[in-house]
Amino acid sequence: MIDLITVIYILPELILAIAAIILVLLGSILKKKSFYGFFAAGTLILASFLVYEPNQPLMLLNGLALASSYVCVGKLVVLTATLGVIIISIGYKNDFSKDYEYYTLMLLATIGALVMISSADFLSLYVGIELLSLPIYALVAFNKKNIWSSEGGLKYFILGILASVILLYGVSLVYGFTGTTNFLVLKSMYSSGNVMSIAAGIGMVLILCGLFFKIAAVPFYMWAPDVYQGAPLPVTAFLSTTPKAATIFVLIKMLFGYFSWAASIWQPILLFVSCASLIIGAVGALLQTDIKRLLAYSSIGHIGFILIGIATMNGVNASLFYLFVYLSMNLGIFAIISLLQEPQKENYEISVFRGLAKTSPILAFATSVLLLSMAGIPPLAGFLVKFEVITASIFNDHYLAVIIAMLSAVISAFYYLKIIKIMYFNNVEAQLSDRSFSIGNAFIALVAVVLNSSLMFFPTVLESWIASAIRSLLG
Amino acid sequence: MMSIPLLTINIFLPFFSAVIILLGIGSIRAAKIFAVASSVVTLIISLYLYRSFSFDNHSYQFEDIFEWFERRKIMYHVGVDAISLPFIILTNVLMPIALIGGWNFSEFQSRNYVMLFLVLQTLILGAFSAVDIILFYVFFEAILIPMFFIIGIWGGDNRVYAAYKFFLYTLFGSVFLLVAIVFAYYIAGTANIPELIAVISKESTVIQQLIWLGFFASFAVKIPMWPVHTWLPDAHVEAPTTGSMILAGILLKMGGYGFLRVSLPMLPQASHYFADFVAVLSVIAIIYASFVAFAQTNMKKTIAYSSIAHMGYVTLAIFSGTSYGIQGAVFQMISHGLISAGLFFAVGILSEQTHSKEIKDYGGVASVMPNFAIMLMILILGSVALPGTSGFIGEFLSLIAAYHMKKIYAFLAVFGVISGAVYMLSLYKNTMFGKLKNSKLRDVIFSESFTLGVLAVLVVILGVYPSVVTELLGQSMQNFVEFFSLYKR
Repeated sequence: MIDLITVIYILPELILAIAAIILVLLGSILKKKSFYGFFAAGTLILASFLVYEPNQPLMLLNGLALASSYVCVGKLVVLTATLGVIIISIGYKNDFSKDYEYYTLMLLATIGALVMISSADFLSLYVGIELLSLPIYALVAFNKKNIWSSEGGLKYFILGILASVILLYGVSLVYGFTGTTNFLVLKSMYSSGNVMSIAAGIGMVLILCGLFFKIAAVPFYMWAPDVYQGAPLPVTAFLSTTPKAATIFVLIKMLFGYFSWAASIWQPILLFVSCASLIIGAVGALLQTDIKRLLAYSSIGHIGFILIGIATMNGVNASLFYLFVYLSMNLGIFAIISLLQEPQKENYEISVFRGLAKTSPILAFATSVLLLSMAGIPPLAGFLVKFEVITASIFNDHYLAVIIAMLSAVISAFYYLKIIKIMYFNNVEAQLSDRSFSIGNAFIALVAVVLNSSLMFFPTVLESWIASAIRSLLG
Repeated sequence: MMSIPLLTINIFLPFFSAVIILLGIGSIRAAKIFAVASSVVTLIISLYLYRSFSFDNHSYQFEDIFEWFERRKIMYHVGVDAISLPFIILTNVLMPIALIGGWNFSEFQSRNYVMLFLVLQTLILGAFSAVDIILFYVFFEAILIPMFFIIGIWGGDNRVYAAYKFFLYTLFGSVFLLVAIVFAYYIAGTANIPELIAVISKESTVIQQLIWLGFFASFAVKIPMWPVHTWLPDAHVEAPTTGSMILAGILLKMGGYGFLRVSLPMLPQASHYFADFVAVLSVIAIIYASFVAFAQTNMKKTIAYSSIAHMGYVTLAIFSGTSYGIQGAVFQMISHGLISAGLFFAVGILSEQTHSKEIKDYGGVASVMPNFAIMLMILILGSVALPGTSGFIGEFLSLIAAYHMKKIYAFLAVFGVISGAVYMLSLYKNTMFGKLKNSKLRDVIFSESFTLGVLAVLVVILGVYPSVVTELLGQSMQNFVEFFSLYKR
């Protein structure tokens, strides 16, 4: 029997589930298509108001789920990011983004992300991951007219299932050798002096592999460029934000909150993965001419930075900070790309930016701010978070990772500059095409630009919020 | 009196002027007038700072401190001392002069350029007056953004390549600077430069050497030293005239300023250890750049290579371990700031009319532009370090310092003085005298002669009365005491 307190804490998930069902029902009755997007956006706003923060961490549903201010922050972040994606979808001028199935799938995936964040048990974690992934497989392939969309969907599905299987196998190993799948039980088991058996350690590693796949960390990144390219633009935006945010929150919660005693196992792995991601992210993007592929590699690089922060333990604050800024940069840039598209004619070559400084100086300025922020040039937020991560890893004596991170930041600056060059330096005749303007996209771009350019001046606001969330994780 | 944050106003006034231009001023003419007014106000403020600067006080003055990262003891903390004051004044002198002189230049026909120019001034002033090392880095690095756009949008034919090269070279150096800064911050637990100096200068030599190398990677690129100088000729040739003026006049000094501000006082043992290494690179730079300058066919490239040679004296002097060296380095940087800005401006006046920067396209210019030729002569003589010009004082002090270090360095560096005379005078001869190749040239108009004239007069004044700068510095050798003591045997 579920008691009332539990209901309060899982209210956002419940609201989203109910909304998803209503959306399906409405979809079969209503013919007014533009309504669905606003309905989904409204639901997300409602859900984020219903995220309830407990005074101290407490377990729900027999230890399957957790409620704490950390979880609360995670839920808010995911809901906000998804809201951004929904707004981009509403502004996206293509027929299918008006379908109710599209928004239903997105809401369902969001529930999965929320379940992941609040999970305190490998089982609920797995359920969350699956609930997040299955709708995304469908969403990637949503553009039925585009062969690459189907290809991307299939590719993501096959590889994703494989990753899930690996993760599940890891869970079964942990369960088989310890007799439990609950984080808290595992933590207390080992903090009282037990030594982890090798098999359970392998299980942990396999679980990590499954999670790395979700954030496209090297060496599980091969799907990312193709899927990013094939998926419809708002779905790409979704792929690069919500699942990654949820997985990072899970990684920090698991590794830092519950398995910090096993750091000797996961720390070297995480360091390797992060450094490899940085290198691949920097080098892989150099020759890309498709903006979505380029952003796929750039995301891999950013994930590398975030993982360095987690690997250094004390850097988890920096990682979360980085995640916020990463989400804002990415949503902003996707909103801008969406603004640049002509109706019914999609073009994702980086040449869409050509001469933007002449045709739309404001948009060009916004793009430059976001790109320079991604490159980590002060005084933009991207520098601030890179600085935080670097500081954290130097304070923990991880110098090699720092050097690799900084060098890859220089290399990646090259391709961010490439887009700026196309916008500003190339002399072209100003050609005004009828681009589809949408207030929602413009709003998201504006918010992202303001955030990225002002965060450096008021770093303490977010910092203290994150610090209190992390404290609740340990408490 | 301290209630008004004068220094902060000085730093951010140009930025807010740029914002006002962005929001409210549509016409390019009004924008330029407003920008000139703003930069004149900053000049007045900095002259006031100079007037009320206390020469007996070795610590920072006019400090403004605001909370920034509370948790990490990183603050917005600015102040001036005798090392930074000359550079702040140099910046505030060059900015209005460049704005007035470039009034009719092609790049100043765009509001965006005026705004970027003002933003650039804010960032430069911020870097020169930061007392918090993280703040210093933020300003230092942020300069890349406006400069990248200035070169890339308003530059010459090969501007994209030059802008990229400038950006990536500098960024590459800067990341090591960042790592070194964070490392020092980690050891000392503070980002305040005087406190950092107090802690880090007592650390072991190995740690100092590591940090020193990180700093060196960035400052050497910025100055620039041989062999990481190759971005400079490209950036200068492609940059618009006023961009070149600021680049050569002020931005190159950031590297030298960095050495003086942090490397020497914070890392005395490492600086001592690497002194010969730097000296050898400097001597190579002086001789090599002089030869290369002689071979150039492009006027801007000649001046760019002469800048590399002149900066070679600066680095040689800085690491000599004598008070002559510090004085000579600062003096040489100020003097070169005025001279190179003037030379680039002069090239700009010519190329605005003919759209050519090649030496072969000019000849006999003195016959049609007599006033121009006179003022250029003074600047050229300053560049070849004729006694009576500021260039002489700077090179003379630097050579004394080099002599104190090792005689061979001074001996070799003197060749740079001779070859400097050769290439600069032959540049002057080839363009100003001989057969007239372009009779359509007009002589300087008022705004141009104002800028050239002010620079030429300043070069002479500093050459005749150098104590304006050296007096300032004489009192502030405190910071380098430990560094000097290492050289005493």
